[in-house]
Amino acid sequence: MSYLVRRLVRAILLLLGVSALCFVFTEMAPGSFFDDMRLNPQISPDTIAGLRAQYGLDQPLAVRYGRWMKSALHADLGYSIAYNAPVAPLLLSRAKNTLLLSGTALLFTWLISIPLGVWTANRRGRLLDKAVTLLTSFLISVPELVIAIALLAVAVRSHQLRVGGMTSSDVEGFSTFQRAQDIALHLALPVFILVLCETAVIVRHVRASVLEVLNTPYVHAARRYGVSRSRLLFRHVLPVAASPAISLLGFSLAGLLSGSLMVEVVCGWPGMGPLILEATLSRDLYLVIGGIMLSALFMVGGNLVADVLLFTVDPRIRKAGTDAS
Amino acid sequence: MESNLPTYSTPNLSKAETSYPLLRVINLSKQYVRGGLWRKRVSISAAAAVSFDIARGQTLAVVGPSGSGKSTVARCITRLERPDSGHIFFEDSDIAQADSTYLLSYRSSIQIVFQDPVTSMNPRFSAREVLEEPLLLARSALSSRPGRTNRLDLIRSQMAEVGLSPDWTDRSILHFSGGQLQRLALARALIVRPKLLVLDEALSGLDLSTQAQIANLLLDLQAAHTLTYLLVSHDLALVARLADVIAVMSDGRTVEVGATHQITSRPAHAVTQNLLAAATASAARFAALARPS
Amino acid sequence: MRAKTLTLIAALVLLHLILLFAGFFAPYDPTTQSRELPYAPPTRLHFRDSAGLHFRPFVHNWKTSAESDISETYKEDLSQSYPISFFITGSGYKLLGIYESHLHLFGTTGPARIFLFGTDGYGRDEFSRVLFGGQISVAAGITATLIALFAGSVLGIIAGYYGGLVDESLMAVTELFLSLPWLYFLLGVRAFLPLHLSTLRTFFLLTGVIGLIGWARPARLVRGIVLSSRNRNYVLAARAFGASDLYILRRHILPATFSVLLTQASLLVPRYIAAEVTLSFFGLGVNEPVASWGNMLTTLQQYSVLTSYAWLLTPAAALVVTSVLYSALADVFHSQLESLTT
Repeated sequence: MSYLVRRLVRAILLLLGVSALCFVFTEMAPGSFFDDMRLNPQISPDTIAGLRAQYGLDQPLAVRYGRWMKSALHADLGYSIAYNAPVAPLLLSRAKNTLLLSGTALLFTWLISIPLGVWTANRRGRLLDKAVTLLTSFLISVPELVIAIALLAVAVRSHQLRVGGMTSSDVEGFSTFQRAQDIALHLALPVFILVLCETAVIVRHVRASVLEVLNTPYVHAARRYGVSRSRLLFRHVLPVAASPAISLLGFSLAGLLSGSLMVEVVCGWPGMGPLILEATLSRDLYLVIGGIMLSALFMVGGNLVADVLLFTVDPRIRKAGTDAS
Repeated sequence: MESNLPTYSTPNLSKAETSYPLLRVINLSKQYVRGGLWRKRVSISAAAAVSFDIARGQTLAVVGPSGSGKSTVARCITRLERPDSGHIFFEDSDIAQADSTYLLSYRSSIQIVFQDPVTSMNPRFSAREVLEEPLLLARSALSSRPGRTNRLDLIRSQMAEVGLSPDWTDRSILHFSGGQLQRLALARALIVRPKLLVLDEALSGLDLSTQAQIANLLLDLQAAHTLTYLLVSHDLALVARLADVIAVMSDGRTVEVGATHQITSRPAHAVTQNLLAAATASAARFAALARPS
Repeated sequence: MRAKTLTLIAALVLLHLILLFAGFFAPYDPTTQSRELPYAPPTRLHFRDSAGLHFRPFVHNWKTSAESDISETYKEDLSQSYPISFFITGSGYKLLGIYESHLHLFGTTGPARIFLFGTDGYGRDEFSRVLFGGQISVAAGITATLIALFAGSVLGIIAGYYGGLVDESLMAVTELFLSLPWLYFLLGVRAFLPLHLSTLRTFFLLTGVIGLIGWARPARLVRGIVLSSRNRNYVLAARAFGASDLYILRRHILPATFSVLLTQASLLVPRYIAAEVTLSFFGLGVNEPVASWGNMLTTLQQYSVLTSYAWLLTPAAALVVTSVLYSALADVFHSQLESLTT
């Protein structure tokens, strides 16, 4: 139990660390945001002065940080200049779409990776294994951006999938089912890109951990005793190989979030990615900070879920957690 | 050609000098503290109130079961660790709490040979590099560092002295056997002409025949250069062959100190008796392999 | 070394040489526009004509013919053929940034143009731009890698050598950096820095940011090596001879880090090249008119461009080739490292 508590403390410290980093950066580049805003003819000097006063930007860093923290805990993440609206609702509406994309991608990634990893580990050295290893090596070497652009080109050319945005333009007359179908068709390409990139990484790790377990003395002994291959796999190997796989979950979340940002921009999926990019390009300070914090929250949340899963699945962690306190 | 190579002081010592203790250890204590930022701090007493003397040209053996604090004593004497309290008089100077600059002049006088020769040398080095290191670093006995050719001559002669072929100077130490590596370690310790040589279980990792050879080598070197040995070991049979004085340790304390023949014939403490019992079994075998003195 | 490794290294060296001497290998200056030939397809090389087989390939010029009012298509102007010359004099460039030169490996004389990879929307030769853009992208990747490895090594050595509180706090910081999604972090840092700077400043800013985000993993690896080496007996033995901390670092600890650092370098370079390309693609990196593989791909965000002009994907292809070569090198280093420790 204390293991989980420690993990929670760690997560909170991580979030605090990220927010501190953000504010340190604003301090290190004091003029840049508002200097650029001053150059923007659409924003009047009064607005800028008002913003400065409102956010207490003439106050020391610690005070600013404190005030932002306080309002963040009340789900007020500041105000967006470009959109002329509060940051939090803006982010949250987009966040839903990102979660849809990332969640679906995560699901499919693991649905494919685990069986594939186990299968190739089982058939080590044979044609299937070699082909998969070659493919994953190639996919890992190629940058995600290139894969995204290439697949987008193929998709647009083939006119099969609906690309661009989350819904088609004539979505008004659709029934709920048709809407869902429409969204799914739009979701297909981004998810496919993400799954392709992540699976390549995860399959290798799953394969490696299954192989490790397959080579242990107790598995060899079980084989000699005549335990059937499938029973061996499901009752003996998989439970043990599960824990390194689950600990991978947290690690793959970071990759997935970074990847989803890029895929959203390339495919035009209306998630947090394009929003944060826009915010960066238009120097929208609080939107940027809010976006980073929200994505850090997702990361940390996902890691915590992985930790809980690991705790419940692996008795070794449970024992270690309760012993070393 | 001036010689700035290290040399031994004259081997002919007067009776008074030979009986004067080269090393006096008085009430040496050392504790180790475990734990850090997150765990509770626990202190383990490794050595407590250890005392003994070694005279010039003598061999003193520190024996005891595992965990009795022998290695701790060896490390404190060579100042690889700083003792918590007590005195270590080397030639009248107390080096127990001396700072590193003061110690620089003593580094050449006290040397140590470790138990595992494989880990005591950087695996990427050649034999020459291993032996050259102390020459490049030593300060006290030399007014200036010897030149490159002088160093190479010195290295070759030192290797020959410990029984290694001088042609092997550029060979990587990965190609040396365990016994050969220990000879190399010995050469490395001797190349700076120390007065006191600490052998921390230096023969424990070797097979019996190699042990015998190295033991004989040690005796020869001691006679030739009037070396003083501090031998740390758990093997009483080996010690009986090499040591003049034995100090028995148990749980960090010295429980018995005396001349070899006295300890081996009339052990007073229970620990000594246990060690002796374990050793008599192998003693016969050892004596059969050893060279007659 | 095995033949496979040798060919790999040769390929990488060749790649870098071509990029380094981009001015020589490229027939044109990357900023020269041929406004009359936007989105021209790659020039076809011919070896055979009515007279028979020629040793020297020749090309035809592109001629625009407006078939319909909507699009222009390109047809080869067969009235004239222009042979390709080698080692010809062309536009000026600076070799290695210092020496003025006009020598190009190949090109055409007269009104002929040779566009090996076609042209972009402004009529600029894509082949030349890929070479010059590669200079920027690959240089950014290598520089960022050097920064990350240097910063990581220094901090890793400090953490490993001094241990205790210094070590624990540094490791906590690395955990922070390692657990963040890199692209978000990159965007965030980039967001707080001025948007439009001179090319040189942008380059250094970019590489600095990418490198400073990536110091965490090398730091951990180096720290691990320092920790394991620090208490080795041969370090103790050196101390017994009076070795200073600096000597021990230089002579015993640092050489042990080299193989790990090499493997890391071969892993990081392609990743950082991709990072620069991604940033420039988003418009946050190197800006026009300077070419980088990233901002050359930006036009592909329009679907019409993406589907019609396939040759504009050549920067992506170049990126893939570079990444695959480096990944293969990393595999080689990794297996060598494993064979050393087993």
